[in-house]
Amino acid sequence: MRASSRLLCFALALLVPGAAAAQDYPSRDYPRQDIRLVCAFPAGGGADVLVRHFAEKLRPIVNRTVIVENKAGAGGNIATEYVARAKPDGYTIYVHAGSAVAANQSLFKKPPVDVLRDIRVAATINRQPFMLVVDARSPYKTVADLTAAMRQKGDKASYATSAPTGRIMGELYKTAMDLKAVEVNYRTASDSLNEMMSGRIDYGMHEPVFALAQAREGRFRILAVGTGKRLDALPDQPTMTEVGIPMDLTVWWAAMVPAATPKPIVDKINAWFVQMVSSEETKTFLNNFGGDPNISTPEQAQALFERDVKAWGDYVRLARIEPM
Amino acid sequence: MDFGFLQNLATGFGAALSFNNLGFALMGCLLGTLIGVLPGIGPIPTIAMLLPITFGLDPLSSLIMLAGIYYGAQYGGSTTSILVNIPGEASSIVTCIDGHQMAKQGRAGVALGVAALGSFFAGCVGTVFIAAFGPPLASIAQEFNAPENFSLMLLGLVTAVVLAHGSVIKAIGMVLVGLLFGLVGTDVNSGLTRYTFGVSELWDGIDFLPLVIGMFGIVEIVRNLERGTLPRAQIYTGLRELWPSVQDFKDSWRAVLRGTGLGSILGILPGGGAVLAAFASYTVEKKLAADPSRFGKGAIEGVAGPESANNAAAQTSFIPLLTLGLPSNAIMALMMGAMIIHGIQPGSAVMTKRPDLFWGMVASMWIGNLMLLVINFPLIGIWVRLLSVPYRLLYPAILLFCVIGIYATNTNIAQLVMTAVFALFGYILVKFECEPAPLVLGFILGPLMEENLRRALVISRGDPKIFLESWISIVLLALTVLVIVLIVLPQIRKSREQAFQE
Repeated sequence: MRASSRLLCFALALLVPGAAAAQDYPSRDYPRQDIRLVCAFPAGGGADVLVRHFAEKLRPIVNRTVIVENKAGAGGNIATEYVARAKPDGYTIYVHAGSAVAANQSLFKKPPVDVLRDIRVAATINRQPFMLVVDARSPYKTVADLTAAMRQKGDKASYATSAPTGRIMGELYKTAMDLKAVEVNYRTASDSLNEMMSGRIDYGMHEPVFALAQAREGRFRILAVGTGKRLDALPDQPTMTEVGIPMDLTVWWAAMVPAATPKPIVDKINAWFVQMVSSEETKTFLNNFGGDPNISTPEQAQALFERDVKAWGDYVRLARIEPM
Repeated sequence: MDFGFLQNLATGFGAALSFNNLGFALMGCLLGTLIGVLPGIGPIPTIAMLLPITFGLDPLSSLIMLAGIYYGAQYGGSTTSILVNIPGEASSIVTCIDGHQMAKQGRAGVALGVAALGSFFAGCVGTVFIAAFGPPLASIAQEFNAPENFSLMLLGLVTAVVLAHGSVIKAIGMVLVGLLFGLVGTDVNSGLTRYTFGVSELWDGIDFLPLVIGMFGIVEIVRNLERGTLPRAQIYTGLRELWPSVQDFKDSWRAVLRGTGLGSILGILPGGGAVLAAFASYTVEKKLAADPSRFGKGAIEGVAGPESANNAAAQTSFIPLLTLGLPSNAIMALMMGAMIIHGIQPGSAVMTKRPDLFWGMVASMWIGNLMLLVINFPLIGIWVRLLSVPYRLLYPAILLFCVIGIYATNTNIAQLVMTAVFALFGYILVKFECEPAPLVLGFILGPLMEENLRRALVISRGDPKIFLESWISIVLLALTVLVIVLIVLPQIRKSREQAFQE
């Protein structure tokens, strides 16, 4: 009895300051409390480690505890919704692929929030390519070689994809070159390694960490990257656009906040991420994940976000992906 | 055979035996045991949370510590399986079946002892296995494509029926219900969601933890409470009853050997390697036993075999990561992340470019296993005494840890609701005398089987002959047919006997 009433008091005590602090978010002495970085992957899954890297680096900058909160599920939608509905006070920062948040707006029939209205991008972190790869023992040295061979093979050709970006890249390639290859879907890129190497799959559209690791092992040959511009980390890899298949599919990570977050707080978050992303240590870290550091102002970041939300609407129609 | 690996192992021990690294191994093992024993709190979130701390450490030290957590959790997980019927992870579900029965008969200490010794033995063999056969084994694992994976999962599902000690029909039913639960969520091939009823929490499918903790842990508590004040299993605290007797060793050494063999081989396969290993071992033991009816009622082989198998598999699951750069389960994916953070690209290059790191890790596996034995053996007495804690204190504590564990993984209330639903469902199953173990295996293996079946058929453009194109697949399918015959024959005989009696 006593214990339960004490619990009630405790719960009330938790509620009250929340109610009082509403509306007014003074940005002058921000941050005054602990900061939560929201991660859309389960602890340890996906790119959770990337979020934890930034939590670790942010701690000494803000002199506050930085907590990683894992809100996995529904292809990131649960985390997106959670952040969109969080208090716009700068204490909830969503560290996730901005391109994925933009893509989900078109990949889902009923997206939980309108991301353009509810989410604002404060800072960009990196840019990563998806890669067109083949078995290193295959005779295809360039995209043109592959295209010619796949035209011959017609609907007997197969290719591996994982993740929506890989699917879109595959469709853009097929449409541009008029190929009839059949798509084989994998849960993760690494699931496809054995079949890529057995000759049953002719090529793959894969995420950079996996593709680079296997290329380094001498198992894959990377033919091109799907980004609009070449990457500093991979200056020798041509883009798909250069070899005649126009596309700009860039995975870019970002720090995002609820849309109503005051401008001074957004600027402060942007400054923190610029500071972290420009450090040599973070650059190496990001390069290991197959990407370049990517620094922009809040305005540039938001413009990129708006562009991707629109672009993904077209991609999904083009690839005839049925929204969930 | 090339004995160069002995030389390499010596290099490894040289690196792993430094004072610092021993300390990290000990820390990892202690932490792992602790989280393994707490139901619901698994090694994955622990390793994920410790990952940033390891940024500043030497790569070898940090990998040694993380690996220690992994084995430690394996050991600790069997402790809760045996004592309170809560499997910490999929590979210790099988241990619950006979291990918990042994505990109820007052033989908890024996079960724990056999599990610890069996795991230690398997760990030693696994370490040598990695050192001697790592690279060639990895090339076998590479032969496993969609058709072979499908055949393997099919064999696994069929053998799941043997797990039940009651009715075969009910066991098949449970496997099928498990398959259905496994279908919930987003379909990989089409990207469409199935059986989610518009609930976004179900889009990624049903999580393993709520299902297992609900159906095993909470149901176990409810059942015990239901029995009310019935006399409790007698707890022996005398040393003689605590340790396995000579007879126990005689009963279990063959099971340990077979389990180790199965585990070492199945561990290198991606996906459900350790799970398959544990219950393949159980199936083998039950089929080979002179009196299979003892299984499910506290047969010591039913603990010794699977425990050795899952530990051997835990060791050899490092092979694909260290040789191919392929993580075979979620924990290996985390270890891969840890390596990447330290600027090490996992794969065969580790062996040639950083031999001290590669062999140091292999050596630390053996050291870790020895430490676990040293840590756990004296603890057995304490664990067993835990059972004499009054239910009114023990059960709320277990429930609390379960709830914390499930909530902390994803800070999501929906998971707790699911746990409650599965607890209710599990309770109904108990009332109908249906066993949950085949269901869980159907749940784990079903989605993998479906994924590979459909992938194989997409690759072959719908031609089922693809499953007969490789000898691995043919052998696995033949074994499946054999197991079906073994299951069906006694049934037919039995029904004929019944017919004669009437």
